[in-house]
Amino acid sequence: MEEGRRVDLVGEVLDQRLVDFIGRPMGCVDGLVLELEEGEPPRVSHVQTGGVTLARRLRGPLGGWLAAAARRWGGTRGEPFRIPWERVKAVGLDVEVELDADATPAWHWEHRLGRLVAKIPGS
Amino acid sequence: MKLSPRQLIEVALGVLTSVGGYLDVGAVATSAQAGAEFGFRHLWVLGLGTLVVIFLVEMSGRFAAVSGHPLRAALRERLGFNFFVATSAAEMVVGVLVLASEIGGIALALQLVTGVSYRWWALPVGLLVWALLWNGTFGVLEKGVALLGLVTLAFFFAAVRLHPPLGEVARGVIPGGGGHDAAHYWFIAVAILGALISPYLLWFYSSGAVEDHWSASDVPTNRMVAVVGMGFGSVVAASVLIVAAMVFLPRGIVVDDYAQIALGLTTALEGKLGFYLFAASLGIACVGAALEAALAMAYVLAQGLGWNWGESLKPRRATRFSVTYTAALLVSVVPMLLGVDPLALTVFSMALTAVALPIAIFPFLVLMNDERYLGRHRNGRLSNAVVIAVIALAFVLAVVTIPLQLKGG
Repeated sequence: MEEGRRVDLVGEVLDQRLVDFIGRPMGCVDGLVLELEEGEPPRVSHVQTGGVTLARRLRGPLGGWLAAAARRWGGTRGEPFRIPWERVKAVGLDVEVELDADATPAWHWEHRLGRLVAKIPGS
Repeated sequence: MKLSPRQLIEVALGVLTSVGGYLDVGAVATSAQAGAEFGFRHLWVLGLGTLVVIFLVEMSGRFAAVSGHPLRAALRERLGFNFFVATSAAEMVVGVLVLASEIGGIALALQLVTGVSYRWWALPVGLLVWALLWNGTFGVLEKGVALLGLVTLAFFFAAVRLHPPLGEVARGVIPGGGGHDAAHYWFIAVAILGALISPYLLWFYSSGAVEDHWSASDVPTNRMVAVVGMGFGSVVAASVLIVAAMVFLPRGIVVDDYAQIALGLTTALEGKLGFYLFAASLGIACVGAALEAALAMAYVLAQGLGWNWGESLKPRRATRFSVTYTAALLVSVVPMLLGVDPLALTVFSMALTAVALPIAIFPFLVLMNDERYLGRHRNGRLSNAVVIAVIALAFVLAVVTIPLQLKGG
């Protein structure tokens, strides 16, 4: 990240697409985590992505169902998937992170469905 | 405006593809009904719908070409997750009904040719559409639909051969009312607009621009495709209306099944050829529209949730995306299996599309003016004025559709 740039967290980071180190989409920035320390200004410590975080943003029963589904079948067993801000390389139209999407819980379902898809001819 | 050879090919291809996208089961059904019952008096509605579609298609293409982000992805990015969930839920419901109608259109085309009931064709047709999506790439499907779509020009030749009275046709282009049966006239007008202004076409088109790697240099190409392609499509739709007006109106036939529309072409083209041409036109236009509608649902979910997506990727490289269109097709086959009347379902889904239109169009106003995405290619005053007018029109449609359906449907 360039020094001294001001970033509008809600406008420019929240809900933008997350891409990994080679530009593969790995979800969206579904949440932001602020760290509060006595006497210090708040610091963005993590971005969050995935169903657990999304479930908390939904009102009504839908959020509850999604949270239950994420606990039961999700790749992180009901914990939000957090990416330390230090891994964020760039904030543009996409938020680029220094991670391999393939090796993160963001692609948990991509892999699970992949086993099913692989059985179908032509895949 | 000078175009390179590659851009010219893009334009030609885009024009042909948009006939497939434009002329779907809804456009055929509503235009035929309009012509049969009110003569040429709905032609101006086709013109208005086409004008709206040209502007919206141009914007969705420009947005994707300049930003590399399709509209639906940007919708979540700019308007937030809750807005995305609410609009997507509505669109999935409408999408399934539209897809079911298109499957019904293909199944009926097969029924016309073979005499075997459309209910038996629902599953094979669903499987065919799925196999095309599963095995095809974006480029192959685009070119295939484009070439086969030329068959729909049969409607145009039929319309010319019937020698419609040009004075009356010209009067139909001027906005007017329905006369004796106003509620029914306006219900059909709303259904025509719902059939022409289909949001799935916009999501499909802007995703296609990303799949084809368009860039800011394709903005002029995009404009040409939008204007000529949609204009061309509207000529075919107007031809359906004219054929219906010439063949059915004098005989007092109300169109309530597709076999009658086929009969119309048979009369127009004097022979069995017209019948088969109609079946082929209906079938092919609906295959194109079914491919687009199924993909559009997968695009909407994948882009809003940040999955990797693309019809050009092998299914195993975008598994959530390909499973989504598979599931959409599975659900959409059910109504036809149960024997729901395809024409009734079509008119109902077109009216429902009209109800859901305001929420689909509203984001254009926000997104098309966003400097981060569009830079200097943002909407000018004219385009913004058009968007505001379309949102106003969409609200009117949404409010009047249900009362009109009860009174005139």
